[in-house]
Amino acid sequence: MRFFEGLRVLDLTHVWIGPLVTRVLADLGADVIKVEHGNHPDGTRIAFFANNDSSGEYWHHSVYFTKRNAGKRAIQVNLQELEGKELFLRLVREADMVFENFTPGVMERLGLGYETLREHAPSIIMCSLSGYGQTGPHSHRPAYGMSMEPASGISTLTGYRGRGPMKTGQTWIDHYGGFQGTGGAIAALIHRARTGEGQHVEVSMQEAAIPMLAAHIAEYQQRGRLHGPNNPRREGKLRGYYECAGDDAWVAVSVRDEAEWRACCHAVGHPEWLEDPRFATAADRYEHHDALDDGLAGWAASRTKFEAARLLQEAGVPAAPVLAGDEVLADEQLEAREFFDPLELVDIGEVPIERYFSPRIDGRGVPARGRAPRLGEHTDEVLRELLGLGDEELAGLAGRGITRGEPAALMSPDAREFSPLPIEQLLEQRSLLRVDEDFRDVIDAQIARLKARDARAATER
Amino acid sequence: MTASQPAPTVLPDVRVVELASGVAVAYATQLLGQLGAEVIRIEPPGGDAVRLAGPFPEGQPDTSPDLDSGGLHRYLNGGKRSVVLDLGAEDGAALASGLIAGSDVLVGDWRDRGLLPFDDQDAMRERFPETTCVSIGDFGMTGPRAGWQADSLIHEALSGITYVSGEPDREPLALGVDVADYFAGLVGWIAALVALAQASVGERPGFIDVSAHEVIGSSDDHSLSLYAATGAVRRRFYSRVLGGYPSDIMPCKDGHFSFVTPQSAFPARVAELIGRPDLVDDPLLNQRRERVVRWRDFDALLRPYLQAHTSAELLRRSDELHLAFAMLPSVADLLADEHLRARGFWLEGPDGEDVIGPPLRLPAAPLRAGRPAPDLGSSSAAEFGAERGA
Repeated sequence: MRFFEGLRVLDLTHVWIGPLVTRVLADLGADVIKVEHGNHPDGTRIAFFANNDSSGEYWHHSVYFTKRNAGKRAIQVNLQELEGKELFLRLVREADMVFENFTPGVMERLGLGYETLREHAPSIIMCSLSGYGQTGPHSHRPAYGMSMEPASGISTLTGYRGRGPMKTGQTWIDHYGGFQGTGGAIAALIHRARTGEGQHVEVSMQEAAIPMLAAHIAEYQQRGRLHGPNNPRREGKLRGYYECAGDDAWVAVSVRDEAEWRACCHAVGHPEWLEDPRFATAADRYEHHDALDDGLAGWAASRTKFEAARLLQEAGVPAAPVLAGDEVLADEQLEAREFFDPLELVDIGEVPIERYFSPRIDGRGVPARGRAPRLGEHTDEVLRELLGLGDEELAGLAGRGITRGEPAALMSPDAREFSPLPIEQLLEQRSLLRVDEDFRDVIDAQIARLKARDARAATER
Repeated sequence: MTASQPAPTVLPDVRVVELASGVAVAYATQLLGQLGAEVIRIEPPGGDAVRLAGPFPEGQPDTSPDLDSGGLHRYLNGGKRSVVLDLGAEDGAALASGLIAGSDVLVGDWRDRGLLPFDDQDAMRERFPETTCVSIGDFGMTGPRAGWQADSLIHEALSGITYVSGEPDREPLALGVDVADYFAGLVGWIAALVALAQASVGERPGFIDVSAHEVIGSSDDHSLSLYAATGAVRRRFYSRVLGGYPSDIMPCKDGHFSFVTPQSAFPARVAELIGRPDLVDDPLLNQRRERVVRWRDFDALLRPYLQAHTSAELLRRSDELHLAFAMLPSVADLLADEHLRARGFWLEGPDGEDVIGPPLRLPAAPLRAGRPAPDLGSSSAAEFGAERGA
């Protein structure tokens, strides 16, 4: 089911939080038109490109860009030029929604603020996503996910006991803020369908994240208590990471209540813990966490992380292997739930890409609608279709650089030299665990399974 | 806007029934409620996990706290109505059935098998043709792990986040908040909105199956992309993003400071920040790759400057230079934050306390955040037209 078929979205977003929202809308059927220009391409076009090879049009080989922009169309419009702005405003008149995630103030400086858009399209829905929101003394501060995890208050609660605060190594907060924006955008559509009224939807990543602190806020207000880093412990629970057999292999365990505690004692071969007064209540166990950690670590050490997690889960104890990226790709639960789709990297081959809208609706998932677009791939097509432009006008716009521009910054010798990751050095410093020489075979085998799955589904339909 | 004319909302005529079962479900319905839906929370006689989670005000006995006073309950259940029903009893199930039949959306966690005597997907569709059921569970309704138990720690571990977080020579790192619950709640909310948007043009979905595992599992930035592109397996290295340095929390004179690099203007601005314009052309400053590999050398340049300045001073300079740096507020700092105050984010609660404001802004139909939460069982099913034997 393509829920938002017929919905037309102009997408000025870049990097992550914004492209996530518009990818979900594209998956749900919207016609999402990504607006870039050679002078200002989405910089993630060169993030994690195939084979770490920066030759050729490597800006069309990014796995990262593919997952954020699957199923969209892409056009070039130079918004720095008056003619480009006018062209964009003509497109706005044909659109339902405009998305942007620039630092607040940029759209106004471009002459494309909400008030201007509304003059051209009175019922337009504009959606702005930023770090700190569109108003307030910090609104103009540039923001990235890496700074928003700290700025939202989460990092002071994250880290090792007795050490300083830390963030995580994955910028999940962009993704989180993007989902907040996705719901906001759909809510605005519902409102418009009922009233005819558009609006300017606004997401601040900082404000979107604060609900996750609700319990901490309440505890501070009620008792004046502030927590610090205490990885991964939580009062009232028994939680830990225990090293297993293998290279840097860990099992995560979280015991939440008495039933799970009893199950855990038996599963790890320590039924005597149930009689031990040190462990009588959840509070007692929290106090003697170190002793329990020693026991659990001893049990885990001789098992693989997969075996340890399976044994605990079979006993009814929440546990999981701590998975690395290649293991997430190979995860049997995700594969059984059709979480990955095979998408093309132009000139390279296919890669498995996560579903961004993962719910299954009446038994069916919502897959990506296609690969990510090349820079400006659909410029002429979109301008013909939406604005009725002819060959001569299109050639003129392209010739004047309004709708055509080489991505000079990505083509420069410097970019080609310095964009690849220094794999050898990263291995040496241990920020990489290993490099699989046969990874393409692994990926190809997965792609073959995904395509067989899709073929089966097509037959069944 | 007069008092008799409340602000318009997005979902004025929508009724939602929540089968109370934890944070993710409660957050999804909280957001629907903030958009104007009427939310009826069906709770078990002793309250659900959200009510039991506290934190409770000082002086309450641990064994029998006041279930209306928990901090998480007061936030997540604000604006809802509470109906207590024993779903294991015939009467309770019948009343629940009546409530569900009169609702547009039902949100619960179907993993709790036996929660309702009619919890099969097909049976639900048949029995409640006008209602969209949204199940928000740990692993969804299908697959080899459908029966596994999990909380946010477990989901983080399976998502790939944990493995790349923390120091290289220590155990991996968990987040200090239950991110997976809120992630799953957000996507359950989106799913319900998709169904409601669809309802106006027909073909309302019957059953939507949300898996927390998948929601947080889609949040990869580098690890999966990297493997599919190059075969390299990323691991934790001081929680750094791969190929960018510094993107760290660094010590400064009075605590810590978030130092972030992606801007292209970073080298020149940092050279100015630390008063070393001579470094503008030094590869250590202006080549990302050089900084990643020789990060200790880069630190040696930077740290003396950071150690000599407080986080407030650093932020002031960072703002002047238009850098994307940030402080690390505690919960107390956020409550006092001048920016959030200026934006009117914090609302005033019934007892004058600060209450969390709306997580997004829809000016034409503002979210209704900050409403008081209901006492356990303070409404009856009959108030909503559900009767025994229905």
